[in-house]
Amino acid sequence: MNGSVIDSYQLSSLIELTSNLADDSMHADWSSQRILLNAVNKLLWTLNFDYCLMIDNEEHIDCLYGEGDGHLIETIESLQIKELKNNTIVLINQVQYYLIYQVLPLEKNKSNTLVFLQQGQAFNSSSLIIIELFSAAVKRLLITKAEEHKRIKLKNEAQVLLRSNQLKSEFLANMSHELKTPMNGILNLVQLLQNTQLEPHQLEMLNTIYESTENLLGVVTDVLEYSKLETNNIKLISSPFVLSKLIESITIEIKPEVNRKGLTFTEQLDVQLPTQLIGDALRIKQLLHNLLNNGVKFTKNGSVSIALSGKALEKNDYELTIAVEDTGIGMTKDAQTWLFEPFVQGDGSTTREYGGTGLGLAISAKLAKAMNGKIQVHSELDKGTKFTVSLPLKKVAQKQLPQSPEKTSHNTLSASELQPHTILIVEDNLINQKVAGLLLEKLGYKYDIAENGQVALGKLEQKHYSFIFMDIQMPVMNGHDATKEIIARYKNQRPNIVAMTANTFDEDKEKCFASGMDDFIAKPISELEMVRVLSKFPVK
Amino acid sequence: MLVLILNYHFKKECFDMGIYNTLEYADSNNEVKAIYDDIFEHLGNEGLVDYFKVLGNYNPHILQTTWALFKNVLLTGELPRALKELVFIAISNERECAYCTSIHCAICRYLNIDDETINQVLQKSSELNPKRVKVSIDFAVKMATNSAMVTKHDHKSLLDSGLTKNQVFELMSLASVVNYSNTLAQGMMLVVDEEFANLLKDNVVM
Repeated sequence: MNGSVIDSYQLSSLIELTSNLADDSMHADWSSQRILLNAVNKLLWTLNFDYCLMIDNEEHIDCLYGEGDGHLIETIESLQIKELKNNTIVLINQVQYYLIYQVLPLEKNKSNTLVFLQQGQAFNSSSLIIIELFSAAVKRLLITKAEEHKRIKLKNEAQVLLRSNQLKSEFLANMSHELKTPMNGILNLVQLLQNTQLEPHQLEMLNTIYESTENLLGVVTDVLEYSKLETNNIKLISSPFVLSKLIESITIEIKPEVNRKGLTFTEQLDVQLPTQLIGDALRIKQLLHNLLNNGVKFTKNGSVSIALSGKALEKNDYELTIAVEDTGIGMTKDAQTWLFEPFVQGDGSTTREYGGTGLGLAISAKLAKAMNGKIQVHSELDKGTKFTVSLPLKKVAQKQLPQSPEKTSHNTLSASELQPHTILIVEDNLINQKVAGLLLEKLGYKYDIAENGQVALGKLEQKHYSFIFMDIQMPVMNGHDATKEIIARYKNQRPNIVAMTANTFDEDKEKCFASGMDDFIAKPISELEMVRVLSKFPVK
Repeated sequence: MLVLILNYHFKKECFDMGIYNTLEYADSNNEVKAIYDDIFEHLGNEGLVDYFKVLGNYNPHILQTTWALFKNVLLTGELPRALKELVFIAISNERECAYCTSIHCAICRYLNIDDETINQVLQKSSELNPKRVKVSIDFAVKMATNSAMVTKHDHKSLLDSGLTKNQVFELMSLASVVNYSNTLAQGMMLVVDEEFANLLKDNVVM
């Protein structure tokens, strides 16, 4: 009857016990201590022991089973456990106990020891086997738990990092927006001031103020653009565009600076290139503008060039390759590796000499990525830099020039005249009220001011207006709500409503049109834009 | 010995038709199916015995209650499942519930408990090891068959053998559940499920 070393009752209990241990180790929120306590309690049924202790490598003793009084802990602490044999007799409180133990090596320099004590009789061979099997399961559990602990810690850290990165971007976006508004005010007021009678040195000072503010605005716009790309808020619009026109519009912007520095500028378009391609022309322009700007900025003498080539792929796919090359200061191999990171310039010291936020290339890289394209750099120190951008675009199926609405609107603008509108400015910011008002006065208009949507509704009841300039972000009632209310109240008799806001993202425009506004002008308000909208809509 | 006991039951009951019929899984409604599923999940496919299927046929509420008892007392707690199954057959045997004895003998086999140990329990052998298993089984049988005679001394010997008070309560509750189960099984006039009868017949080695 007692032929087998382990009887089957012991075996079945052990199987159940180890499978429980394995199951419990999956509970993320259960500590290994709790699982072990539960397991040792059950192990008690297969073996007859009086104490079970666990000692970690820092000699900390946990009593897993039995009353862990002071004497017991003291005695065990003074034992050189690793030198004892199994079934060694130890005396605790004048009582003889048989002791066996198992060392569980975990990772390097870490181990736990399981110690079992039994009164009266020695542990037999079947008990030893069970303790060995049990210890193996406990070791497995401790390793699993340690790994899980690490995994959870890593996961938490990753989440914190991700969140703080988002917060950083949000902060930058909000901050930039807040900065943009007052700067627009300064720009507009300086512009108006420049047209008044001034002494020459006053005019010079004003010019400096204007330039500095514009530079600052450029930096803020960069930051805003970058944080938008960082938070993946970019929306691409695919439409046909004429390649040569696009390049022309970029070179026009860059030419004055090129001439000022006495550089030569060349543009080269492969004859094989199709006249039209489909893609987001605005983003491509932004990307190339950044690269060219960079080239001009870091080149003291020599040349800056842009070369376009490409190849037709399957179906209508077309790969456009643009190379922007300069003979400027260049950069080391090292610098090239982190060049596309934000707030970095080739040499940490370059910022002071050449200015800029170090965001241009980061924005370019993000833009290229957003368009599924690639951007590469080849550069040698003091020789020059070459950026190569390849963008996957599409060819236009039929040969048909796209309509260029800008051109027609420009024509009508010059042809048309200002309409005799009665105007209401709805705007909460005092500087902006002043700017818009002064511009209107300059154009010969009279106007009223309402500081929010609610006030505007009141004014509309008292007087008929044919034109409203509507700010979007206002206290009490914002521009969207006010517009909806005006449309609901006055239907066809309503005045024309043109949004004016510093939020110039595409989605903001869409939002304005969605709430029923007729047009959109961006802050800083330019005289040209104001003339455009005031001539576009006839008086109702 | 085991062979004798079981053969006796087979001869007496194996070919009797039960009075109450079973409700098979495929024919059950959602409410019953949910309970059947839970049984499958905890006991495996063999666990859905006629005992549950008859209850499912006539009284899903009692099925729910009974299954909850099994789940909470037999399947969860600090005592090892193997010990609880041994307690189950010890009490069922003492109270002569052939159905419960057979089913839980078969479950003991699933749990790798060999015939020697099972026989020792059925024969009330004093050689059962370890000691506290013997003490626990004896206490549970006494609780189930003659609870008025349980003394302080019985409790003390349980605690002395290393049981925690938590475990003692688990054991007392188990004894009551086995009693409940025996009463219900006997009342339903159940015949041992065919699969289980075959399993026991094939594995009897003596």
